[in-house]
Amino acid sequence: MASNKSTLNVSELNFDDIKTSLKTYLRSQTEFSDYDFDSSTLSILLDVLTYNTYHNSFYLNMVGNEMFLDSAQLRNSVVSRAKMLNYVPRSARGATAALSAVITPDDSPTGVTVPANTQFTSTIDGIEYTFVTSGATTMSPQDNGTFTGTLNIVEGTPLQHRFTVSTVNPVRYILPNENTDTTSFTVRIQESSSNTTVSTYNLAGDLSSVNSTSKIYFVQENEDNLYEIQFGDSIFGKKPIDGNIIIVDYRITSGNTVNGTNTFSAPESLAGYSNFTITTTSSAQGGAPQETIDSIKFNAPFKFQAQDRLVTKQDYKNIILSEQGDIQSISVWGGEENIPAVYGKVFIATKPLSGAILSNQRKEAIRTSLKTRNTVSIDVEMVDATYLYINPTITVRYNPQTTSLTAGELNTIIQNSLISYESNNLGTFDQKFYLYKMIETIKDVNSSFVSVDADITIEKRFIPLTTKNTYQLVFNQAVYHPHEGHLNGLVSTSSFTIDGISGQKIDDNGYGILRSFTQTPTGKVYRNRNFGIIDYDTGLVTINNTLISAYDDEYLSVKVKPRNKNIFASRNQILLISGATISTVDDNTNNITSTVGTVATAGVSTTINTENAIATTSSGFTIAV
Amino acid sequence: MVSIATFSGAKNPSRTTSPINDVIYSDLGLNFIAHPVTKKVTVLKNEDAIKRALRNLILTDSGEKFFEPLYGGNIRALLFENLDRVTEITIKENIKDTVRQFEPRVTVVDVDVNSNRIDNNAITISIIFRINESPILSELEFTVERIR
Repeated sequence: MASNKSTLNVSELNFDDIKTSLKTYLRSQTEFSDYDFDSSTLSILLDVLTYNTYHNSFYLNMVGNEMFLDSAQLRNSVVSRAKMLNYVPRSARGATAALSAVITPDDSPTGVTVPANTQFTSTIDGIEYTFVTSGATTMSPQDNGTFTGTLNIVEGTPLQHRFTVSTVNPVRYILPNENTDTTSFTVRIQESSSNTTVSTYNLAGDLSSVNSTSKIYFVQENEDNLYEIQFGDSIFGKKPIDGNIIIVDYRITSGNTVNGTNTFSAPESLAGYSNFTITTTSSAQGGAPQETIDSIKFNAPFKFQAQDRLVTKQDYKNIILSEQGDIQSISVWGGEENIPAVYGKVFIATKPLSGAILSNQRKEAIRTSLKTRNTVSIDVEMVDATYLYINPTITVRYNPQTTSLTAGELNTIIQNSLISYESNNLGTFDQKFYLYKMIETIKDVNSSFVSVDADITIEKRFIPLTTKNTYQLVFNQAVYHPHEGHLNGLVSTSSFTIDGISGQKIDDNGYGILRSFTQTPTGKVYRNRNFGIIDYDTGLVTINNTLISAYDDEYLSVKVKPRNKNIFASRNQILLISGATISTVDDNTNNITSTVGTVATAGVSTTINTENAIATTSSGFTIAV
Repeated sequence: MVSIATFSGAKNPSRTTSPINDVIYSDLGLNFIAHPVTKKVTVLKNEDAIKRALRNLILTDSGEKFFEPLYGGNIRALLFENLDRVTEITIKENIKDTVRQFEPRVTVVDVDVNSNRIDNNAITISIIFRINESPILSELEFTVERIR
């Protein structure tokens, strides 16, 4: 049989390699020689042995994988590994919305309160979703006898589960529904079936302030993707005793499905009164599905690193991204980095997964969630993302003899490559636009392209207020200005109306002064030669205190030519491409063969929410986004 | 043919004497019957080892062998076919192709499929082959019959 001197290589993980290794081992003996022939009995035995070895090695490999957060594949394993980092994966979250309610009672009540869990509905694609008031809301009486107030509603179906504590027949307090929103938990303990005294328990936070009588509970995701409530052991937190009845109120939610809806059906009566009106003041936002495996793997180490404390910029990013499921991108900067500097504050800008900016309700909810964890002397200021639009003008020369595509088809693939470039490189915070990279991307899409030329302007948009205001447009990019007095249309705008004069636009005088004018057949007629100022070095455009009563488009657009062809986003800026113009030129004839004026990039469809687009800063200015 | 068939084993294991005097091929018997004297597992040598291998090969169905889905005689796939000339020829060709492809030690000279025992739900297969190291022909014969 096999010689003792022979060694068996046990490091192989591939079926063929394992079998080869076994054959090599058998070569050291002389009794059997048929191991090399597939139909021999010895080969059949080797197959069985190899398969068994392969199966075991695969199994052990999987077991090894599941032992580590980086390589685990199963959600149970990932959740379990994350638990060791004190990380509870984010549950599904119900979207929140705000309604303004006016109730007209048919009697003369001293007060009107809309109770918690008052149900509203919203129908999306034929499916009805339930929204409920997250808490009781006391309405404010008005002089005309009505009661008004803001109702904060949250999507989800309210449920209640009860568990009886028993040491003889212990049960785990598992809520048997997927898509449970753990932020909706209200946990109470009734003394017994005969003693209806009820105590409310709170979610455990900082264990350093917990003692044996603290009424706290813990939440964990269990092995079946469900959530389990646990209580203290009478050392860390009060332990329920036999006969106690645990009452858990919670909601199950549809996650991000309802985000963006702003149409809600009210119940027949509100606080007992059928004469009422509701108006949506904030559409549904913040709905999110349960955290994914990849997200848990990404966030758990960061959350552990931050130790639930908000000190560094990264702490803010990690905690917000791990806790808020509706945020796509986040930017954080200290007040000392702000322009103008505001000491003692940390600024946070967020880009939601859907829509352009977060509602005030969501911003306040995030700000509140951070309050207890950041440094005492630091205030958190949530600011909107501001969008800087890049308007490229692209000319592509091509050789028609090296392509079978028509000019129109070539133009289409250029448009698609531009859209692809935008989605891959722009659209979130801290992104950089390199003109050369965009040109390279376009150049590579078809071998018939012999050259690609491109130039850009940059654009800011804002919605003027209905009152007199000073506006600041923070381009954060130096503006092309080769010399004092240079006049070549560096600044341009869409048309607007002031003092009843429509068709007005803006240009600059080459010395940093903005002027408003109307265009006539004989030339420009200036209406205001001191309309505002432009700082060519910082890209700050200030429009003096004025009332813009009307404007041509959905917003007022201001464009400037940047000094540099590469545009870097800073702080709360997000770069997008809009208004791109693409022309194709036959390189043989020099004829322009196709021109498309508006490419459907994300920057075209990104809209500005009137309510949130303009924020008044502490300096009294109004900043456009 | 009906129901499940199996091989009943060689009726006439060898018509010839192996001309190979040295032990070139040595293998185990798949039924692992102990030698009556030595009480060790029987070792098959040369022609016997090859006959055992041929049976193993033809008995195996396609997809049965790990990571080698085309290996095997795939006779069982013909289980519910009518036992006519077409099926006989198919069996013959299957065996010839399979042996040519997976058993390099032998050359098949002829395959005979005898359906005289059709009333017993059985056929007899006879394979005449030559071991490449030997000029002498050998024959392997066995019967396929239903087991229930």
